[in-house]
Formats: sequence, C-alpha cells, structure tokens
Amino acid sequence: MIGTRLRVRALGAKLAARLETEPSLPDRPHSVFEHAVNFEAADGALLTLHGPGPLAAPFAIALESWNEDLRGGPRTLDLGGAARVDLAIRPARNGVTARLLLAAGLAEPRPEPCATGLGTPRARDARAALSRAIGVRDAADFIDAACGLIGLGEGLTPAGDDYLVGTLAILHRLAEGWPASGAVVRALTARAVDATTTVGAAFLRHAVAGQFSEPLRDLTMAKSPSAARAAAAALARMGATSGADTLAGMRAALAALETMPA
Amino acid sequence: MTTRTTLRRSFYQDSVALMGLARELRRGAGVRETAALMGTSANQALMADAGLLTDEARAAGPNDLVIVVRADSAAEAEAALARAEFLLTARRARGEASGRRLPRTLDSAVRQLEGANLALVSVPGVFAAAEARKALRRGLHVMLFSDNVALEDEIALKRQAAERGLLLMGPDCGTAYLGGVPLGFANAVPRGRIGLVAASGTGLQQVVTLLAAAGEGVSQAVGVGGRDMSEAVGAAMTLAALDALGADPATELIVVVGKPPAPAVRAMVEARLRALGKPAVVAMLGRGIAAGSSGALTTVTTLEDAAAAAVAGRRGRAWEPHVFSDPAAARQRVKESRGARGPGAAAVRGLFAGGTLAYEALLVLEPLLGAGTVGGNLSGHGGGPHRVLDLGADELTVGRAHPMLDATLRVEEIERAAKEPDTTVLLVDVVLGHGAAPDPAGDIAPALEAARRHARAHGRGLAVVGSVVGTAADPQGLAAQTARLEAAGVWVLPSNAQAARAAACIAGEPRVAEALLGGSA
Repeated sequence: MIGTRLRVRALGAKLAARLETEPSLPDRPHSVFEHAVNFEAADGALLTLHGPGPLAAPFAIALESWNEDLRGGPRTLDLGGAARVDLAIRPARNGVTARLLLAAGLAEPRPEPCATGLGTPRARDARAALSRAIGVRDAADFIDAACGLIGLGEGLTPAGDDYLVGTLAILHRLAEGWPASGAVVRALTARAVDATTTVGAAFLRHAVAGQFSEPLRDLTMAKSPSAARAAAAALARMGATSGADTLAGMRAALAALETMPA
Repeated sequence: MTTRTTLRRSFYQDSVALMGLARELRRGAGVRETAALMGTSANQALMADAGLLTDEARAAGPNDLVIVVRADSAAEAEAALARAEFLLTARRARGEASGRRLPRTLDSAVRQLEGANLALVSVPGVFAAAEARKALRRGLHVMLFSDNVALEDEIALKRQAAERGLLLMGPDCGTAYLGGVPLGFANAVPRGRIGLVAASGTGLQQVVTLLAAAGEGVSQAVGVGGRDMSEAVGAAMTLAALDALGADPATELIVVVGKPPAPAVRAMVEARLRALGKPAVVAMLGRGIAAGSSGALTTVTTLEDAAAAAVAGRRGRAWEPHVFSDPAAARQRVKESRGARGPGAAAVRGLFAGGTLAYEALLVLEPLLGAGTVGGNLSGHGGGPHRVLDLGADELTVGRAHPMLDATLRVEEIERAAKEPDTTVLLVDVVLGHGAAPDPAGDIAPALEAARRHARAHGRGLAVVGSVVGTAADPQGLAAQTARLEAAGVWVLPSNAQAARAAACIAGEPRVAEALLGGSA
C-alpha cells in the first residue's frame, strides 16, 4: 500500500538522489513539532519534513503544503515536481572576495544572543581552543576542541553543534580544503554518533561532508553584500537560538582565519 | 541541601523552551540551582561543573531530557520537579481540559469555529508570514503577534490584506481591542467612542488606561506594528485602520499612537485623518515634534497628553497640557527626595518593561537633564550618566520571557543600579492587564525595598519613582498594585510622563524642579 502521497516542493539534490529509489517514509515519526516532523530511516538517516520555505536542514524536505495528515500512517513522497537544491558549500575561487562578502553579511553591531550554554566557562574554553586551532591549522587540536563543543548546551540541536556547523561552513568556503581530511571527518562523525542528539548528529554528519541548510548555504555562497546580509538575517531567524548559535560559529571562524596567511 | 533529577526519554524541546524551563524552576521556593538540558556527554560535563550531575543524569542518553534541581530541602526539590512536569505537559493538559481536540492547523481551527473572522498568529517569525498568508487567503483578518518577520514579508502581507479588504495587524502586534474583545496584552477597559490606531503596544495600553480613568472607553483599537509608518511600508495598515474607524459609527474620535513616521508618510496619515472628518489626536513620540492644533487635528508629545486631549475633544473642551496632576504634592515630594539624596553626582536609572514607556521617558528626560546625557539601549540614546533601559528589547529577551511576564532581569538590574553610587532615582513602570504577570508590583517591590535599604546603609537617599499602567478592572487590580509599590516606598504617579518628570526634578539641576514646579522645590 502506497498510502498518502506528499507533494514535495524542494529538497537537497543529494537527498533527492537517495530517495528516488525509496520514496516512502517510515510509518512512525521520530519526533513531531508544530512546523516540522522528523523521520528516522532504517539505516539511521534522518529526514525532516516541513512546509514551503527554505530547506531548514541538508536532510530537509519542503512540502507543497503543510497539514496535520503528516503525523501518522503510510506516506510516500511525490518527487515529480520537486526542485533539487544544491546544498553544498564549495571552496571559493577568489578567497579575498568571498571573505569580504562574508564579513559584510556577518557584520552586526549587536549580534543575536546565543543559547546560554555557549556562554559557560567550558564552552568559552572550547570556542577559544577551536579558534586557536583554526588560526594555526592544527587538525588534532581542532578535533579536540570540536569534540568539546559537540552536544553542549540547550536545544534539540545543542548550541555547540550549531556553532560547529557555522564554523565548518566557513572552513569549507575559505580554508581551501582544511581541515576536511579523512581523519577530521571520521573523528567528528564518530563523536557525533553518541555525543549529541539524533538531530544534532545528522547536522554534523552533513556539515563535515560539506552539506548545509539552505539559509546557511545562501549566506556562505552569497554573491553580493546585500544578498549576504539578507541571508544572515534569514539564518538568524532559524530555530529558537540555532540561527544565532550558527552565526556565532561563523563569526569566530572568520576571525580565526584572519590570523592565517592569506 | 538536596539534589533531585527527572528524565524524559527521547523528549525534545528547543533551546528557548529549555532556558525558560530552567529559569522558571529557579524561581521556586528554596531552589538554588537547576539544569534542563539534553543528556549529551558535554551537557553532563556542564552539570558536573555546576555540581548537578546526579547518577540519573549520568545515565541519561543524548536524546533524553534531563532536569536537575538543587534545593534547600527534599520537599522543595520535589515541588520544583513537579512544576517541571506540569510545565512540560501543560499544553496537552490544556487540550484535554477543554474537552475537545485542539486544532493543529488553521483549516481545522476554522472548521471548529464557524464564522470566525480573525486569526491570531503567534509562531516563530520564520513561519509567521506563511501562517498569516494562509489566514488572509481564507478571508480572515490577522493579528500577527510574532516578531522577527522580514520587512519584505510584511509589505507583501499588507498588500495582500489591502487587496482583500482585510486588516493585517503587526508584525509584533501585542495589543488590540476589536469589537469589545481585548487581544494580547490588554487592559480591562470599558467600551466607548474613541477609536485608536497604534504602532506601539504599551503606548496603546497607557492611553486606553488613562482614558478609562477619565471615564472614556474604546470603540476599537487596531495595532499596526512598529514599522507600519516607515517609508517602506507606507502606513498601509494605518490608513486601512483609519478608513475602518472612519466608517465605524461607534467611533467619534480617533487617536493615533506611534513613533514619528517618515515625513511623506506623516503627511499621508494626517491628510487621511482630515478627510475622515472626525476629531483626531496624533501622538507620534519623537524628538522635534511640537504640540499644537490644526483644525480637528491635535498633535501631542506624550501618551498622557494623547488621552487628555482625546477626553477634552470628546467633551468639547479646550485641551491644555499639564506637568503634574497635583503640583503641590509633587513639590513636597521632590523637596524631600532632593534633601535626602546626599552630595555628589546624581543619576536616573530607568528600568522599563514597556518599550514605548521607556522611549517616552527618554524623550521627557533628555531636554530636562541635558542632551546626550541619557544612555541606555534605545534608538538614539546618548552616553550617560543617566540611563534608560528597555528590558523587553529583543536582544535582552532571547532565551527568557518578556519582563512583563518575568521580573528576573529587572530585579537583577535593580540590584545592579542600587550598587552604583551615583544612582539617585530608580524610574520604573508596572504594566497590568490580561497577559501580564499576576503580581508585577509584588515581583519587583522586594528588590526596590532592598535597593533603598542598601543606599541608606551607604549614607545616601535613593528615590524610587514609577507609574502603573492599569485599571481597577484588570486582573491584578490597579489599587492593590499601586498600594504594593507605595508600601515599598515608591512614589507612584498617574502617568509615565509625570513619573519621568518627577525623576528629572529629583536628579536634575535645581532649575529643572523650579521650571516644572515653580518656587524653590
């Protein structure tokens, strides 16, 4: 039995490729929110369904309409008319221009307040260590500091995870491949499995692989200062404090990169 | 001292909800410390740092919600955990208590309430525009309580509403009265013949409560959102609301409350008011606005004057602004406070729950205390030594409830101000009504008493001046709230503007009191 067909408006290109062969959803959702429902596939991969709008996660699926029928029973995704969105953040061809655009987007005289967990002494130490590791490009220290942030703080995606996702977005764009070595990917992915929530782990797994939410991709790949500012404002509105926590990670990484040789 | 833990397996709450829960539990009797976090290993380390990592918390998994309470006694810790349980399940309990299934979508809500013509949208900003759009498509007026709605969304929504002859109130619209029904943060005021359009929630509350005190009531009050009169939005909803009030036979006089609009927009609003042919009062709080009358249009510079001019207009009397309702009593009180304040620098610390009330205080204080002498977190503030804080500002309320609901931040600021040796006057507001805290005066009175004691112990007098925005019919009761403040030594004045003037008389140069009160105050 196919059950209800859910018309998909947009989803990530990578996710679309995976779902072409298996477009049905598990019967029972993993978690239900007012404006999103998460499903966990048999292989542990997470899918987030939400209404029309920017893709809130690299594993998100934006439906044509949002209604309560989503919350139970057999469901199949109708990908026929769905836009495939490239959610990858790629290294900038011109690093100087990309830095300037990001600096314009992230310049905010009064940054949005983050979750309180990011202000604890433990979090401050980990953030400082992460910035130091980026500044000297020390992958081992980067892994240590990042592992200190994973799962730390309030929220469905703990604030430390959001911060790290923001950091990784900047590094994918500006750090010419650093530190996306196999060791870093393996270490962070392994740590995420048991050190944070299922949703937080899904964000981190995608982030180390260069896949991000649409607002974060828009900001990081912006082509003009005004587009960068608009994308930053959209990102700031994400989640309860997730957007603010992500932006904090981006600002710190950008500042840390300034200490690197251009 | 005892520590208790509760776990909820595979239970998710967003960061704001968890911070709010922890803060709420911290307010409980005997509670010393709390944590409400997912049970990740990093959060377990945070709990260990705070001495809250119990065996149960250590055994939690990353998808489990952990709540830990440390309290003076086991009973107090258990009570806090019971409160947590209540708060986490309150939503479900409300649904069950109502005896019907709560709608989860706009469509099911419309099906449940046939004939509904208004939707109140209060969801996180990123979703709010979509919800408002849906409501407009279904022919519903919209009160958009949510903030953080993008300007371009606001413009598009208001265009859509105008095309359909509907009102889109907001975003960030906290107060309205429609057809006699108060919506959002609203005081209990009588129905009457005065219609209002407001780009300011607490500004609207101040005006309608002062109208009620003078025996006047409200026909309709439409909130339009703080950006409506900007050049970009072009007063789209202000004009629509004015047309509605113009056509409303119950509305005999119109009051417009807001911050100064762009000049072209102001001209448009004033032209529309004149075209309606009903007497009107315009209170655009801002620098460079001059009071005066032109035909049926009266311009005022404070919220109190807006109410007073409207009352005079309704009764066919000429309106004259006044500085203090009871100048003799004010003179005496200022004299006593100045005598007690001690030598040295004197500064006003305004600690406000209402954003517009804070801004109005800034506008009153600035010319009296000196341009650029009033610092704080308001747009266009100066550098000090005086300070006015809007404690409900967005940057101060992320992760915590608004100060009209939760006094924690204001109590902290009172304690901080009391320790500053130059603090001479604490200036406060207390906002009553539906949606506000059950005992807002009681929430801050102990801190105000303690602040005065602290100042006395250090050989100086500290005056506390304030006003209460409320009516006798409000759930908290105007008289009871006023009495609670007065018992704490607060000089309670009839309006926010008068309270700000009183603060300036006490902390300012002698010439300020002389100018406002005459003689040698």
